[in-house]
Amino acid sequence: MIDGIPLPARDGPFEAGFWRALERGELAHQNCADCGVWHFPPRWRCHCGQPLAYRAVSGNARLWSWTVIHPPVLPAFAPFAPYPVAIAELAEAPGLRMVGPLVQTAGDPINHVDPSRLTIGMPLQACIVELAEGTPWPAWKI
Amino acid sequence: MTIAGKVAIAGIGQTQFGRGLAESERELAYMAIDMALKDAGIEPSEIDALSSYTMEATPDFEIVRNLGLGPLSYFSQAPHGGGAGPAAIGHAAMALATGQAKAAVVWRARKRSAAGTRVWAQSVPVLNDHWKWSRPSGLLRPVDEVAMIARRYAHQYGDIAPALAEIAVTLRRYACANPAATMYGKPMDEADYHASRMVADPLRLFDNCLETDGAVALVLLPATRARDARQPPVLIEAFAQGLVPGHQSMADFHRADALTGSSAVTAEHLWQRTAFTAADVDVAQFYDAFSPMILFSLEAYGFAPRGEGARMIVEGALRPDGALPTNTAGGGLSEAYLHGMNLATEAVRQLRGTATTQIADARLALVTGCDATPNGALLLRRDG
Repeated sequence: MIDGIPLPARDGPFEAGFWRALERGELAHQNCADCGVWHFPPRWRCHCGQPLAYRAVSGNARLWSWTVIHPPVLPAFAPFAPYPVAIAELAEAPGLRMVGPLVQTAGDPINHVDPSRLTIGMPLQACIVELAEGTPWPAWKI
Repeated sequence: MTIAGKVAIAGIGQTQFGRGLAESERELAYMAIDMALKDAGIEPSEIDALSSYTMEATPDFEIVRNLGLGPLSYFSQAPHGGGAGPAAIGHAAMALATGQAKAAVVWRARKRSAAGTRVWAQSVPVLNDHWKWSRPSGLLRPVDEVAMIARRYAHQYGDIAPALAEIAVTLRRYACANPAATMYGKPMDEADYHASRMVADPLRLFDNCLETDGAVALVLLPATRARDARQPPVLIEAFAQGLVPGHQSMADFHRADALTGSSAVTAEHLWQRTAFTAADVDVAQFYDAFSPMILFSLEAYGFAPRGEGARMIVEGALRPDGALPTNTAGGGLSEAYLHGMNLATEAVRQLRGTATTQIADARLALVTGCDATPNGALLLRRDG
């Protein structure tokens, strides 16, 4: 949890199921019952025209890419810089990717993981952390 | 119906480029437009069309009021920040080609040299747009987003560090021949590049564009009218835009093939609209907010097969005597960062034969918009 960071609005269209799942401690994404395709970020309906429903994902992922952020950054992040940020590709589908912090254990500060330990393709596991009071978000355990 | 050859860029104007300029952003816009009108030899009252970026801060009616333009019968704005430049010109060109308007001004003015004016630094407490999915995790700045794609590209196709250094050093060399460039008189070699601080690993300070105060403007006329104007006309041969499904601006990480983006869509349509091919291009002006965009654009527009752009760059392709001289006034990295509009004016100078690093007998120039956003491109050619 970092005070003063920009937070995601949680009242956007088609995303209530995403936030409700995170509050339960689950990561869920939109899935098409008809063609089976997974989608993120949230959207109105599947490309095939059918409705989408939130389904829990395994939380298994691989490191798709990463960077290390050096100053200057927003004041709230400044005490942590330099810090790595990851893109995790979820096991459910190619292209089902999320940007998130890397941790060894849920609750680690965002600069805890040494970037020299990172290789593209390494396995990651989702864990739910709090960006701020009442704002859950998936971090990625190496 | 095609717009090929029907519209010309007849005038260009630019203010001083720099940091901490005394004039307001609006005044800079007026100055650049005034210069472009004089360059074309066109009276302000002849202008009946305006086109710019949705991010442009000066309202069209202020442009009209302060410069004595109009009345207008066409006004337009193109979205997506650095992706908008070619479209701002292209939309005006389509209006002239279809007779919706008779004479157009396209402009971009910015006062961005102060650190607090960075768009990312003005992040709001609660994010409602698509950046809500990435910024709260600390991926804050455009350079961070491009760094993600650059690392992934290098993972798939091999080390790009030597190519990025070559891009930065080559563009600096062009800037050092261009007295208007911000980096004029400030040479840089590869050692300087590698010694520069890391900003978003693997991208360093000199992989980033400048932040600039300044303005650039162009005057467009129907080709027939332009042939009677002051300057040799530069014709718009082709214009295209592209937005690939799944693309979201800058933080474009959610498509299965994230390395083939909107530039590929733009390129496909651009080349469909002309008999020329990539091999015919004499000089390129690739949008370069960050150095990897030149590498990605080189491949997207067909100058190198996917994965081979870095090798082409390291072999010297971007240099004045290379296969594709690129960003020959210094580009966003070393001339000025005006959301790519200074790339269009440099293409015009090359085709007029008045560039500071003139490519011999340049007849065909490509101008592209931002590879990381929905974008557009223009193919420009010398008349005759």
